[in-house]
Amino acid sequence: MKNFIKSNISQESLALLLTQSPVALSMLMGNDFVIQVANPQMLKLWGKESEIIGLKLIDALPELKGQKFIDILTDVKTSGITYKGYKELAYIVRNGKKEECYFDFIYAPIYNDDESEILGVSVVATETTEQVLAERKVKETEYKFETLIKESDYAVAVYTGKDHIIEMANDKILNAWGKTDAVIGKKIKEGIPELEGQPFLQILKDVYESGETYSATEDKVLLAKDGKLDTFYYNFSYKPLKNQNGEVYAILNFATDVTDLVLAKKQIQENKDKYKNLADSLPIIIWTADKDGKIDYYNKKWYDYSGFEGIDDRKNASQKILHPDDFPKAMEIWKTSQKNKSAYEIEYQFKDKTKENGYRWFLGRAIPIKDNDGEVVQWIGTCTDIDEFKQFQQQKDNFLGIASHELKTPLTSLKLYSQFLEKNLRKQQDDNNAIVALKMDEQINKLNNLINDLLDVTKIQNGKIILNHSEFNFDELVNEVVDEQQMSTSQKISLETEGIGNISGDRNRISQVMSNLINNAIKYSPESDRILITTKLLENNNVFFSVKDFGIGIPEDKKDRVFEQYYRVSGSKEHTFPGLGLGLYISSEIIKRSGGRIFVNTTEGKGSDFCFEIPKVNKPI
Amino acid sequence: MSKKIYVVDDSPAILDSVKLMLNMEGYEVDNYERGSEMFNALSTSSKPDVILMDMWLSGEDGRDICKMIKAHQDFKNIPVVIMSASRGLGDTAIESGAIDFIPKPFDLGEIVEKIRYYSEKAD
Repeated sequence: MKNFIKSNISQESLALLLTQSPVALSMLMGNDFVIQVANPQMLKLWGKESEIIGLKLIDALPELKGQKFIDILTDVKTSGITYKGYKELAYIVRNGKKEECYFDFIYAPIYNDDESEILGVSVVATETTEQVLAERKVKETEYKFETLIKESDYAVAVYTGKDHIIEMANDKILNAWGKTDAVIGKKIKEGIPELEGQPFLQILKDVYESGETYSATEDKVLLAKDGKLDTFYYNFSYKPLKNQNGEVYAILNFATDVTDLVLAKKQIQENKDKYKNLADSLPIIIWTADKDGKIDYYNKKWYDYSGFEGIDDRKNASQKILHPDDFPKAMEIWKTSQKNKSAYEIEYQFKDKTKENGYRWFLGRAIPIKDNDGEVVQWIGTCTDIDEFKQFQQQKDNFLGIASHELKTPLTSLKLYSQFLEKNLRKQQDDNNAIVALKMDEQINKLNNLINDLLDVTKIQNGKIILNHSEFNFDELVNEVVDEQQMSTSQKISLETEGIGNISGDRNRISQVMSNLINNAIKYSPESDRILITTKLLENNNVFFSVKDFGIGIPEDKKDRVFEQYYRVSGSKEHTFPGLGLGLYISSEIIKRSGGRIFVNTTEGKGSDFCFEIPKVNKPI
Repeated sequence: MSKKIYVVDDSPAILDSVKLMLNMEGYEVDNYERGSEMFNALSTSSKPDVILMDMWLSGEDGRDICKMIKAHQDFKNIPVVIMSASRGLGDTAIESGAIDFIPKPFDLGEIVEKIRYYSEKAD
């Protein structure tokens, strides 16, 4: 400015030059820094109009009061030393609003012609507010980015350059690597040498070169922690960071340790496989269904047996495999089971794919698995091939049928011979021997009853026991049976009856049940001297019959089992009581088929009270 | 003249005991082990007052024999009583034309009563 002023350029020319300059220029003259020149750019920077020209700087920009600029100007004017400001902050009032502005500027002294005196200060300024704010923003962003990485719940690292130098790595990723922050600044392959030979370095290279993000879930990685190489599983991504030109300069690595999850999943899968293998190795069909009964699994046996593929719904599968006669029954039992949330058991026939029109018997079972609230969460079912068992059972029933039939042939003639003998002996008035012949006949009757029991069992098994209903006098029947039974025991059979009158039912079969119950009462109360029979008509119009004895009784936990086939009360004395263990089973079946129920009230050591009730007007079942 | 009873059973012991018993009651008894043999005898011997026949006759079914008798003009009025150890088959015996069914084993009294009843009814 010194030389510039010195030359003989007119003030007007100088002013014009300054006015047209693309940079903001101003000349502040005298000790009060009167604005002698301020070009439009400077006025714009100051946010002022040209009226301020000729005013003292402090009057034109009163907001400079308290700021450092007047002092600096004074220093320059006094010392003659040029001052360069770089991105200096100034508060300027523009459009009535105080703004934070940044400037690059030069304050230079203006000398008089002989350079003996400093007349003022020239100002050249460029506004850098935008640049400063942008830089600040970048810095803030960088800070935020760094904080984000450090505070992140994820393991995060940034690798810069082609060599993937670890520029940033938060504690989580350092911890995951089993390394300290000493690895920062190192190439990744040097910082984590165990990655050599694993796919990650190649992937990083590919991401860097292609600019495309790579992400993986539950990926296996071997990392050396505490000097020991262990397997871990991570969900991670390598995201390329690009500059303004779209060139990759770094890779951002996000990672989450999912080792526990993967191991748990593996464990579950292993368990699943284990149970699947177990289920597949079993010789029975196994299926599972969801809470609504929708089948979601069949084991191998199902597919082997049926030859089906995939998972059919229950109705389709049942329709395809079941014997048409069994299908409605199976659907019904399933419906009931589902409604009651209860287990079921059913015997039905499955199509045998190896034989045309062939079927095999299966035992189907299902149980509901319930949660703590008793709600069904799953159904588990099995189908067991019982065809051979059924055949065996059939053979056994056939055999029993034939055997009892065959046994009856000699029994018939034996009975006739004994009766013939008795009759002849009576004729000859040999009463003593006649009684012996009569006793023989009684024993033949007992033998016949045993054979009939065997025959009845086979009939029950085959569903062939048929009741022949007729109307008869119940009281007469009770008296008849009691009289007959009284003849064979020394125990006093007493009778408490209400007149019941005529009922409808199978007289012979009901008589058989009464005889069975009384016989049992006699048999199981050898120490007692009395038996009590009660009959009455209940409010529901059922006929009630009970036989009370004062004998050995039945343990509480076994009392419902006494009606099962072949069941005999267990215990040390079991073998001392005669019988096949069929009487109560047969009686129970007869009562059930008569539409009634049979039950026992009993106390071990005190005796039992066997009861049945049947509808007075009976409808055969 | 005493009543004549044909007894058909594949068991000689039953034939023997029934005969013994019925003879004692004053009946004349002809025994046959085969149903077909008895059916032939109907044409060749004097007709019985009652036929007492077992159901299972070693290859023959007493009910079939009964049907043959009932289908024959000359014999259809002869009462046939079928006996069997298969108690449940009584209905089928009646269906084949038998007048009654007696489950085995039976009491002497029962059989005598039935034979007397049907033989006198035939008169």
